[in-house]
Amino acid sequence: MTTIDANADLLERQREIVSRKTLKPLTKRRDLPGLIYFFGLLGCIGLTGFIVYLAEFNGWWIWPAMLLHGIMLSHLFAPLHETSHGTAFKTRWLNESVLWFCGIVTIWTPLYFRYDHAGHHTYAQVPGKDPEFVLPTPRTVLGYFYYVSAMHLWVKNGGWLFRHALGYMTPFNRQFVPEDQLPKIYLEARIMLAIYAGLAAFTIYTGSLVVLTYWLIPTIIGVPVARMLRVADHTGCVEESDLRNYARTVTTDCITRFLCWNMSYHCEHHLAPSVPFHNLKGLHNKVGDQLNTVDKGYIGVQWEVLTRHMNGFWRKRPIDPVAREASGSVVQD
Amino acid sequence: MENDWVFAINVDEIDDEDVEPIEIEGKEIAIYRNNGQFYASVDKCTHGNAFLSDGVVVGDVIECPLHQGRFCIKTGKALSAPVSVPIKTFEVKVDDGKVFLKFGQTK
Repeated sequence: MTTIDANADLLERQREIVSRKTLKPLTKRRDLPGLIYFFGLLGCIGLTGFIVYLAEFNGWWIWPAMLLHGIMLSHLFAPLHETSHGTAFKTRWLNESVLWFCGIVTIWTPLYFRYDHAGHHTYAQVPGKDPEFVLPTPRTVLGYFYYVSAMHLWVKNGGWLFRHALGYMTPFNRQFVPEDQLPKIYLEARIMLAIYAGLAAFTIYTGSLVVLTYWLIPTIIGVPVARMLRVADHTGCVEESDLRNYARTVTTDCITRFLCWNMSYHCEHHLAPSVPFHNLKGLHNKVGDQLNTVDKGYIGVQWEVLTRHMNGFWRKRPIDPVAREASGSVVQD
Repeated sequence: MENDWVFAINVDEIDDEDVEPIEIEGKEIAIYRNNGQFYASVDKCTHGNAFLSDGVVVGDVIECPLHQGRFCIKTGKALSAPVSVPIKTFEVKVDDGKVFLKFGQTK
């Protein structure tokens, strides 16, 4: 199936689930909800940063404090994702400014992410085509922990950063980017590397631990929590282009919904990515009964993934085609 | 036909800051309304082939429903990723509550 066919198929399936008339009012853009969520998250980051400051004088407390701070910092991925869709704010410069800020803090190249993520929406859960496929079958427990530890993330994002800064993009990544846009993507990587080099030079020259204590170390140790939320989005769902079942909507508490900018309504987000995060609950209320909604929370989903959707502990077992067919492409132990 | 004004849609059939799909001689056209002004373009996104008439109008911009690429509805210019190829736009006039476009003529 070509990209054009895949997109046409996607829109046809969307119309089977939700009408244009229902969708239209939900797609309206506003600035206020995005400002509340963004500055709310920044407030949380400021608060946890202050806790890190206090913990600096209390020995080992610095580590749990940095973990908490890192969890908050890693949730800047949520506004990065929403602004990459352009749905966070009605005002465009606000959208692009927040996209860049979050991209720099979370170490995601924002423009390339926009292309990569468009590819994910076209080919979600299609093996070999989805650029953001999280743990495709056959998957292992070790692979799960590798993903959740975010080691894969640093390899991937670091790869984007350095390769693009050197003016090279892998053939797989290149399929999502028009040729004439490559210079912009290479430039953004160079700008980001220059910023990080500046921070490194500042740290070495002054001997200050500010960058390490308040940003880099917390980000590295805190990002696994955000990775667990990503596992819940698709892992263990059908591995085919099925809008109703290739993602998972997770019922969760209001704090988690706030931190992830309502991406717990992930089926609804894939059904209609034009709907801003603040209207996903409204879309869920209209069509949620037709989608794959699970009510066991994020921890329950991790348990489900680990106990039902693994194909071995560290060695991948071959997939039994009969079992794959019977379970909707997921082999259950 | 190329230089004739062709009836497209009644003014009151489109809300302000919205878009409606029409079909003329088997060709799919999107008609936009913003601040009382009307615009027209082909109805297909140049990136993913989605119908722009399923998208969102924000001021002078139409945003594709699939990947949120943005085009200027006045000029057809591609404004932001993932789109980079412009859409074809058509000349439009309003007469007696009806919107007409010069179907064969791009702006």
